Amino acid sequence: MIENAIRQFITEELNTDGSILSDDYPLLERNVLDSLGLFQLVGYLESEFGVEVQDEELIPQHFGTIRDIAQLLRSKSA
Amino acid sequence: MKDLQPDDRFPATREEDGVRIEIGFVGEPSGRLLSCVSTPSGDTRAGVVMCPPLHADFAKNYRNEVLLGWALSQAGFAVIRFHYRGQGHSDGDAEDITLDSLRADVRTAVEHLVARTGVSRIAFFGCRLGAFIASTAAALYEGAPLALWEPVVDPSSYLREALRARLIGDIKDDVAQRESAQELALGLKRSGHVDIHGYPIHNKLIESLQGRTLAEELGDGWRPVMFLHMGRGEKMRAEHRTVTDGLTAAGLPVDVHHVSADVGWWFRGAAQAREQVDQLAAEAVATTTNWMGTKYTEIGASR
Repeated sequence: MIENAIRQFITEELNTDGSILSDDYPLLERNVLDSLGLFQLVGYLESEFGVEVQDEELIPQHFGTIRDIAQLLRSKSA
Repeated sequence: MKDLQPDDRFPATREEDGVRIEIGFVGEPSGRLLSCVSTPSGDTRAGVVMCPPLHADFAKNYRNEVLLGWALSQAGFAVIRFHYRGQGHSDGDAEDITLDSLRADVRTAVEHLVARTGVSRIAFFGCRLGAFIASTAAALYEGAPLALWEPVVDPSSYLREALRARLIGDIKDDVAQRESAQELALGLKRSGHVDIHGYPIHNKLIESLQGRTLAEELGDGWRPVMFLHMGRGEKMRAEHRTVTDGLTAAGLPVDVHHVSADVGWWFRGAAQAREQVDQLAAEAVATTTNWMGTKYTEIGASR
């Protein structure tokens, strides 16, 4: 499931306590994702899911929560 | 190698662990470069000119280059590190940096290293855009070994990456009036620069790099090349693979090395653990020093 993969990446690669990461946990607001973490996450999404995140898609609405990120990925494969 | 005599132009010197370091300003009075020359206490194998990166990469990689310069000198190399005009402590303005000015600065650094130490054989090192610059310089020195860290092989992708870093930073900063990549690129032309996390990229530099690639700048002259790429996985980025394959096909001996680290060149962040930073430095420095050593196995000889 996409949400779990994203959650695992954030937990393992960005040194976050995975137990707090619900699908709706505010990643940006609570500083789970800093700008470097965001950059790494985008790189992960592109390599892991074979998508290209367009410049115009780099907006807070797409990265606010795990649900938002998963929705972005699903929209790209639809 | 010459015995280095004290020189009033370089009042800041230090000797430690078999390495002598000399810091001062070199070049024409109209545009001097801050330079740091480190030399071994014994005989010298060759000289290494270290071409630093620009913008955020300059600060990010600075300590690594200090460590590399030190390690190379301990291994028997005379090394010059320097700041380009318009960067760091050197004279000049960042907005005047162009490919031609960068090349001229490398020439100044080479001339100073040779004049000061008497080395007759020169190798080059560069990181990121510094690797691009080192490649254009090395092309003028037949057979000069070239060590590259995460080279920028296409300056247009460097700009795109920078703009992308700005967009990502704007997400985090929740910037109210976010500009699109297209607007940022237009702004670069209109105002002459674009700010990327506090580092201005100037249009003059971008225009001077337009249409150029590392492979073309390096040319087809034979030389040994070390290509060190950094990333979470061992797989090289496609643009790097294209360059290394091309150099190999042209008959150049290319040694590819990988350091496992997610550098995030335009960023500073808590996501990068201290131990990861130290490990990256140690691996990259050791790999490069060992590789350079294989190119100059004896005093006065080269492989």
